Amino acid sequence: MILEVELPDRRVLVDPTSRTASFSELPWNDQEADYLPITREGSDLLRTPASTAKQNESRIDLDLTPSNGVLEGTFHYRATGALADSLRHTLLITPAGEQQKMVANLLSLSRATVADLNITAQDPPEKPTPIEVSGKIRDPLNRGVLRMMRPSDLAPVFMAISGDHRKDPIVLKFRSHEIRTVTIHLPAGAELSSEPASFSIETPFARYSLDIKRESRSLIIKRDVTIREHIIPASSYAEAHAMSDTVSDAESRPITFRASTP
Amino acid sequence: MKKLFLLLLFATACEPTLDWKWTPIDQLKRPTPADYPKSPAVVLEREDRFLNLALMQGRYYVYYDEIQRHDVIQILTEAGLKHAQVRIQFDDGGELVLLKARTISPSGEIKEVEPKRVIADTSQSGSVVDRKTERVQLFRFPDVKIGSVLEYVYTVRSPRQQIIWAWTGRLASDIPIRHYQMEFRLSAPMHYAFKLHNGETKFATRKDSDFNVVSLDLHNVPQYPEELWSPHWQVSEPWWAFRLTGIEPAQIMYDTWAHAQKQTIDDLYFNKKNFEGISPSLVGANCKTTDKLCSVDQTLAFVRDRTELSGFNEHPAWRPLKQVLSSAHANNYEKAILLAHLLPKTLNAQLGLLIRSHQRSFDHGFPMPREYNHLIVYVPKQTGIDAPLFLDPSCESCKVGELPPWSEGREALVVSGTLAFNGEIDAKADFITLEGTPMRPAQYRATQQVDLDDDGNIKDSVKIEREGEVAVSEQIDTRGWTAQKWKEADESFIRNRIRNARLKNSPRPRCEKKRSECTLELGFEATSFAAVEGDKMIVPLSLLNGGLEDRFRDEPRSTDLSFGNSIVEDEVIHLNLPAGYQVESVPPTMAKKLLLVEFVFETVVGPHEITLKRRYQTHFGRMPASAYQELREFFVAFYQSRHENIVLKKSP
Repeated sequence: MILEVELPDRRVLVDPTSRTASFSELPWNDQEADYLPITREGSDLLRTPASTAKQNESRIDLDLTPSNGVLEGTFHYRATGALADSLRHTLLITPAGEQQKMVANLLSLSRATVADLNITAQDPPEKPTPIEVSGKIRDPLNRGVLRMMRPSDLAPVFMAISGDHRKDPIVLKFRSHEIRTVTIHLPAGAELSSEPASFSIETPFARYSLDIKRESRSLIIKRDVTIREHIIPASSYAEAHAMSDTVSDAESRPITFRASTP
Repeated sequence: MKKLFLLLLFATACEPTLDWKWTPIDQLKRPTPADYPKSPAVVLEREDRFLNLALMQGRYYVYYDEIQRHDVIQILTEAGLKHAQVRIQFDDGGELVLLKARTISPSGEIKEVEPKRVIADTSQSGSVVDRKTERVQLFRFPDVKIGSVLEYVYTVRSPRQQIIWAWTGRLASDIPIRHYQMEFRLSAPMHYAFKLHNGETKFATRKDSDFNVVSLDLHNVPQYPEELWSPHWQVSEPWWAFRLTGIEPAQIMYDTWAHAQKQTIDDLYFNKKNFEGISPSLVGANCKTTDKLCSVDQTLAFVRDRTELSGFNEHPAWRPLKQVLSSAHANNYEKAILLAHLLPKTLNAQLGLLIRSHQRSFDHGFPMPREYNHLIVYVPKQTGIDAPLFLDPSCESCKVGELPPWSEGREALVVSGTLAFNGEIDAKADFITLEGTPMRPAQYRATQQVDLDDDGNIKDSVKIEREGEVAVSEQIDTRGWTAQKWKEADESFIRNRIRNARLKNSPRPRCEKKRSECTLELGFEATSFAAVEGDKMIVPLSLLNGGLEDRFRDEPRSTDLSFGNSIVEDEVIHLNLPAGYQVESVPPTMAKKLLLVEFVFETVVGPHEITLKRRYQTHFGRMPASAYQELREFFVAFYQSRHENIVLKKSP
């Protein structure tokens, strides 16, 4: 059960069971659901509003330098909408002593260690407000005179889909837009040997692009993912599977560079 | 917990009950979240109180028990709010005689839970073997926020003529306990024994009217840890045990191991409904009467062939044997009972109670009922059987004389008894150490045949072999998996190694229970696996992926490291090089042998192939928590090998 609040200028749906959705937002799991207003006069079955990919946005910037077998540097994470609500909820339920581990998982770098956490706008806000998390990070790197990595080493799986077929639609949590930019600064004596070509793919339900470029002595990997629809019908399963596979292939192409020390 | 019905008459009167009182608010010392940085809430006070009552009414005794829990919990973080919802569960026959709950706000305001807000329901738990109905009370504390203190107390009274005969109390919970208090009130005719394990605190005893009151106070009980290879809680945490050693005038006693097993002996040997329709004649008579070993062998084979092991129940539970046979599956207890009742009576086969864990053993000085989680069959030495036989039918590959690691070398309490005319059981119980040939060792081996082409693409054929105990576990764990579930597991296997790998074939595994082995073969392909860089090719070793990869974080360790049965995990990769390439560099070999863990990583370079071998092996035993950091260093270095590369160079 949710509540419809009549304001002087508009009606707002609110769900008081959510600890983190702000006053004018419905939590993502209430969105695009049928609802029946309980009124004296009766009502038609209505649909709760949906949020757009633009409203649920995250930007992750990782600035890293290879050093002594690790990639170390800083990170900055900024999220809005349902992504911000979700992060606030996770922070609320995570004891202080466990938050660094949680943030490493949030960045999809489970082997990494995170330090010097700085979180702004952590408390549930009255109105939609971005949340930001920043700090230092160390992620183990593969070793060897020649070093190799893949874009997939630094990002979560794009739409993990398995199995041959399905009868039910694929239901993602919400529409979203995530931009993840990883900048790797090459130390003195190291040089980039090769990097894969940039890549993009678009379907009615998602857009994905991977942009890889050199800038001076840095390698910049930018991954831009827009989930346009959060329900993908079973009839589009093959298309979704193909997109997932194509993205996996693109993200798995190796980047190689020579390092100064083994 | 063990309760026993005493079949005596009862009458109602003014009956003693456990009292209680709210915690004085001015005495509450409230901690801050900084005092417990890893915990979302803390139990400030926990009282577990018990009443065991024998009340003379007229010419007879009335018996019952009461169990009371009184908790005072402070919420420290948002995650602690889950403690605002309370679920109280007790046996269907019990009666809830008290339930009070209140929220104390951070500023000291009090709000009680209204009785009409408490939801009463029943729930069913357990499997087809041990299903039981319990009563449930659910309620939610009102107006809970961070800093609130939640206090509740409830008392459950048993049905008449039922009392607590034995109890084990685990103290630790998922949040720390600042102060724990146990109090047991026992009517004077009761004789008893208490024991605190893993702690030095003494029980206090006093007289209170017609009761003997035994209590225990402990401070700062840590929350139970979630650490890899933690010892069993009974080995590492404080816990207490209670048993009645006798009661006047009922003359029923748990003073010896034999007396403590009377009910079990009755269930195992004399409860006729369990054995209806079961006799040695079911097995057939293909052996000469004098060839006793042949009979044993044949009966063991019958149990193996007619029932599939469905799993190891932690708590003793079994169905009537007719039902076991018709269902064609059996748990570890059912297998042993079936075997014992199918063996020719002349063999005098007996059942042995066992604790499967190598970490725990019977406390000879403190007899307890139902302190076992496994059964075996013992056949004493006799004409035709030169040495005592120990049979563990839950090992489906074990021949007569062979024992699996979960029972080999363990101590069994072999129980038997005779039934007197008055229904009394003359119980016998003897500790005997099991001897036998160990079954094949537990081994996991993943062998990959990898063809690498000159564009860096691979085709990989994987063979996963499990032997011994790990094959038994695999069979139990995957019972009932569908083709889709198998496919998902196989995809997970390959994508944990290469994200863009495509599964090409994934047939169902073949398991042979008579040999305790399972084999799974699957094939996959991946593009751009290796990087071609001028005249060189960089081959990552992400095809290696052990079961404990990335589990060893740089964190303080609170519990000892406890290794169970020995296990070997082997990964072997045969990498066939593309034509025209030779090896320029391979990662260095690593070998280390610690007290209980061995690691080996090596590469063998051939003219057209590289073989990578990675093995870790653990041995049964225990290492102190202080050894964790050293062990972690080796594990991290060992598993780092999957982040290494092989470099190939094009031949001139």
